[in-house]
Amino acid sequence: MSPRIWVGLPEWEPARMSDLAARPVSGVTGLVLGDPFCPVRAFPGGVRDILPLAAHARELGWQVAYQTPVYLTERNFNETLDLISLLREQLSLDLLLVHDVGLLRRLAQEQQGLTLCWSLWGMGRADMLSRDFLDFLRELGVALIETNKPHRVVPLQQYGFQVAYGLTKNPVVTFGRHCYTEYVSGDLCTKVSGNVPLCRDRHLNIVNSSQLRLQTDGYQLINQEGSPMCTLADSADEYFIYARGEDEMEEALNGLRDATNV
Amino acid sequence: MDNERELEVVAPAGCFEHVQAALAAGADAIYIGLKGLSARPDSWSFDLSGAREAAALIHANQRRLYMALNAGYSEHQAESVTAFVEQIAVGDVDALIVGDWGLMRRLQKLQVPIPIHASTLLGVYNIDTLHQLAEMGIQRVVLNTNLHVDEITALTRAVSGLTFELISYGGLCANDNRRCRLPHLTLNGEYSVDCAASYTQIGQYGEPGNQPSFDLHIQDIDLTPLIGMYAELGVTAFKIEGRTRSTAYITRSTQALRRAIDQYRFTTVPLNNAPYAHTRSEVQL
Repeated sequence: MSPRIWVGLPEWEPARMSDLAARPVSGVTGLVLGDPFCPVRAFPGGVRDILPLAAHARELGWQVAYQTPVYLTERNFNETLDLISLLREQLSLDLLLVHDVGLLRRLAQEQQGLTLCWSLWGMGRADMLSRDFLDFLRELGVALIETNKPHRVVPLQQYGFQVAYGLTKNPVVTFGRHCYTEYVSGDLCTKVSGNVPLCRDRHLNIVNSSQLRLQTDGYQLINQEGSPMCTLADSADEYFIYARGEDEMEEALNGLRDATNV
Repeated sequence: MDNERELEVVAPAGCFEHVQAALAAGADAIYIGLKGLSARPDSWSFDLSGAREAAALIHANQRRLYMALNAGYSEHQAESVTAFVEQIAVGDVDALIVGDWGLMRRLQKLQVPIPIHASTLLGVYNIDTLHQLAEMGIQRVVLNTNLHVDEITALTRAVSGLTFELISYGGLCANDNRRCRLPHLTLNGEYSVDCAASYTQIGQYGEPGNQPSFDLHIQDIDLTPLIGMYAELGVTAFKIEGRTRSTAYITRSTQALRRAIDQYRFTTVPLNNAPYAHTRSEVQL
């Protein structure tokens, strides 16, 4: 069975989805909607934006995955649950990317039957895995684990999980609850660019005293130097392509085709 | 208002000298790291024998000892954790601070007879995660430094039986305090915080030029002027970070926190008039 290929862009618009659908052979199975950090970057209008976009994706024949927020506090927890319910009721949500144990626990109680993916940002600082942790995730309903480490794919599969491999041009070095673009520029995101979030068109390069070169990308700091978007893992069950634009997406799709014959 | 409730100063120790300094400065509890399972280098952690030596002194002074098992827990450590649990006894330490869900699950299965605190490294942000921890028998949660006041209030009032600890003296980082991927150890195994290095903005191909420098380790937290507020929110333990810091720092920070807590408990003087604490210029509220 061919692996599913998901594409996530910083923002989706109906025309962009239609362009992707019009390509002769994209190989793409579904779209990842949602931003794991910023409440406004992908969907300035919140739920009003997400549901029509998800519906449009469905009309074009895509499957739909929703990327939940990394930081789920009492400010946005119930809103996120409500959105998941809506997406599920109206569009038969295909996949949910989760990073928070509390959300997993609630979904296990109220939303059984969803395909849950434990995403990269759910891992700890040392990013280590143990059977104890994997058993813990399994008990909370996780069936799919995302990794960007090729050597983890087969061991995770052997332990009974489906595995998703993530491709990105500029790997995320770290992230936080502050918007780095605002922090470095000193400008308020929407003040500078009107209704368009500042991070959509400005990536700021920074360097530290030990010559570590990074770039701001909203709430993420990424490697300034990009690397080829080819996959080193050819046996994953799913692939996530996190691209900043169509060119990067195309490069990743080509890399995937070369590696997996998809 | 019940100012007489027990509020705890939790001080760090990376060596025996730190333990002595923290006791002398008025710590109610001292936390140390276990070699091999601590988020700090082994040179600033204790083996079980060293921990027992520290425990003897701490318990002789009627204070408490907590042991941090808060490094990433990987499969190859499962056996050593089991061996550690078999050796450790009630009375050696008063609580284990655990920073990994897998390790927590293992300790739960091994029925460790010692209270467990959920480290800030677990990333507890919502009430549902608190319920998960309560079900696993956890007694205390160390709150994240990037929570806002309303979020802390929601947590402390949600689940009975849990107590809450707040990092009150230490670093406030721009990056995620749990999942930061910047290098935190040098090739020699020394603790190093890359975010504390000075950064400069550059052009796409340019050099730093005359841009002002900044860091990602925004500033040191000093919540001593706000102890009363956080106590009213339900926080009962106030932690100092700094197992790798100097003995002088541990003495100074423990004394400052001790005074702040005692002032809150025993006087009615507004804490923002406290003469001893250097107030943070910006508090994340």
